Amino acid sequence: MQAYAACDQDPPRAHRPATLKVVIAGGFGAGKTTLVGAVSEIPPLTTEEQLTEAGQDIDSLTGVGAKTTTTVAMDFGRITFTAPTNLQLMLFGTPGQNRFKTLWDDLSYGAVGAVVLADTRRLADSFEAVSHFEQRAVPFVIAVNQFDGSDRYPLDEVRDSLDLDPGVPVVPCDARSRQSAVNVLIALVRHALTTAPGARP
Amino acid sequence: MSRATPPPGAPPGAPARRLRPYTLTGGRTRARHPLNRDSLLAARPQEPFGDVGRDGEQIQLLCASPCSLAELSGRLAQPVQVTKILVSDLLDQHALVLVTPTARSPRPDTELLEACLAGLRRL
Repeated sequence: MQAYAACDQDPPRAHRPATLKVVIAGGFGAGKTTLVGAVSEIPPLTTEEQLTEAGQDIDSLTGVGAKTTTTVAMDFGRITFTAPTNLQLMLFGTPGQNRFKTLWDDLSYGAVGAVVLADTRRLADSFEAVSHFEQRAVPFVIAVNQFDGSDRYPLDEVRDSLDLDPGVPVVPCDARSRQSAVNVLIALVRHALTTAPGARP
Repeated sequence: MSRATPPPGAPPGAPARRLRPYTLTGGRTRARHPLNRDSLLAARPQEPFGDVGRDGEQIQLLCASPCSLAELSGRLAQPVQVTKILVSDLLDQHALVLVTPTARSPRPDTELLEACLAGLRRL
């Protein structure tokens, strides 16, 4: 593995940015691309990848579950910090359905955690992502996107509807606003710090 | 490929490249290096290396400062898997360096999280 040998030599250690990532999950139209775009220093990019899914039905003749390949599109954005540490924070906007759970597992390994973007008009769209991150003990926050014309749900009602653990932050959000998107990320990082193994209370 | 980002420099709304993606990799579907979407890569312009091809040159340009595999995939309008193979070839040719290795623990380091929090608060 010569690339790893090279990795120890150049570029100089001080110039190597550290990386962190955040998963942003939300149903169709919940505002993932808008949120990534509001805070990213580059216009959001679309990345595609092929996922192999286990088929829902078992072929009764062969006894082998059919596998299908689907293409999933993700949003990508980033923020680079130079102080206090050279750090690149990457944002991955992913679909909100459970069928992409291998993608969520893959992305959330080593990640800060997840932002579940909730649309109060379709709160049920967030259930699958919430259960997934809960079960995997991935730190997550609920960002309630306040759309024009949507009811301003009291955040406690959202918490009750999603049956959230009291520790999970629920934050209001305007996905178009940079400051609002930054606040959501701050809430997530703080939550990740309080739930980190060996965290100071 | 219809939803892929058009190649850089293409007029807005231009269709993505129609080439079958794995044509670029000679039909190979697996990368030799352990690469992830968040792996950062940097070009090594000072090193002599062989012909890296058109995609290779474009990747080197994009990696003038450290660039993630996910970003390369988006900018090249190629699926993540194809990008991994192209990058893997360039690592073998020493035309690229893997800047950050793949995450080895499920949760990030507390110091790094604190640095991130401080960075976000300055925005």
